[in-house]
Amino acid sequence: MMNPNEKMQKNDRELSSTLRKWEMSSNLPIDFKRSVWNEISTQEPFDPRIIFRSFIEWVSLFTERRSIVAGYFAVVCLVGVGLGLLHVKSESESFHSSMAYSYVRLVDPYLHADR
Amino acid sequence: MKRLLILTLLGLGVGIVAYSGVYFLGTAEQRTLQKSESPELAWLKTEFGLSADAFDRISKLHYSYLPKCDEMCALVAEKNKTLRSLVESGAGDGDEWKRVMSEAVQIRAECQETMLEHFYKVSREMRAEPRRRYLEWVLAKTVPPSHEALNETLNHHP
Repeated sequence: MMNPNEKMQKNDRELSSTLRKWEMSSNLPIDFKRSVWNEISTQEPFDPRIIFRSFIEWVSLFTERRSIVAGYFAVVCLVGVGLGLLHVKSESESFHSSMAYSYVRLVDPYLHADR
Repeated sequence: MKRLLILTLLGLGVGIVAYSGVYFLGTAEQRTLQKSESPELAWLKTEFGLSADAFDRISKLHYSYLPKCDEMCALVAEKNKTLRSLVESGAGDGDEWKRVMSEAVQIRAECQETMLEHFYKVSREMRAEPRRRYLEWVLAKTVPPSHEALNETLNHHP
């Protein structure tokens, strides 16, 4: 009785010898290489929507209501982006005024004297 | 029920990632400025669109002005101390008071003259539009033209 490991090695050996014996019965079509490169060059450019679509398809495995799921994720994403933009806006305003004040404080002897 | 929970959590995750991404990208410039050797000057460079050469010249002007500013600051502090001690001692209406006050006014005029001279030197290193904007801004902050501007300066004081 062979153990599974030995069995797999035997299969590998058989496959290797079969592959060695195998010969191509027909030649490659004319312009094979060119058509491969044509195929590659005419492929559609990368589209980020594909990621979203694939994500929704994956998530839809959990539910049948694909459009509701897509809508939910789109809304959540928009809310995240919106809140992020609002936070960035308020941060940059406060950064701007604190830097402006720091500069003035450095160069104005009267504000400088308060340090 | 379990599916709904997983979907809700995934949605929240997506929202948090979107929020963090926007925040991280939007504040990248501020983080770079804060990490620089002199954030105030780095801010000035960004705010007034200074070229590298102009920034170098303005930095030199800035660092050569700072010791003068420290000197004036010490004079102002000393005069303020004298004025306070005169008021506390009750000698706030004599000749001594007038003398100290006139010295304080003299110091203020000298400080303002040196400061304005520095601002004009800095502005001359800028192009026309940023020069005008810089002078307008810095003069409004340091020489408040009105009660409102003075209040604004005081409100920004931490």
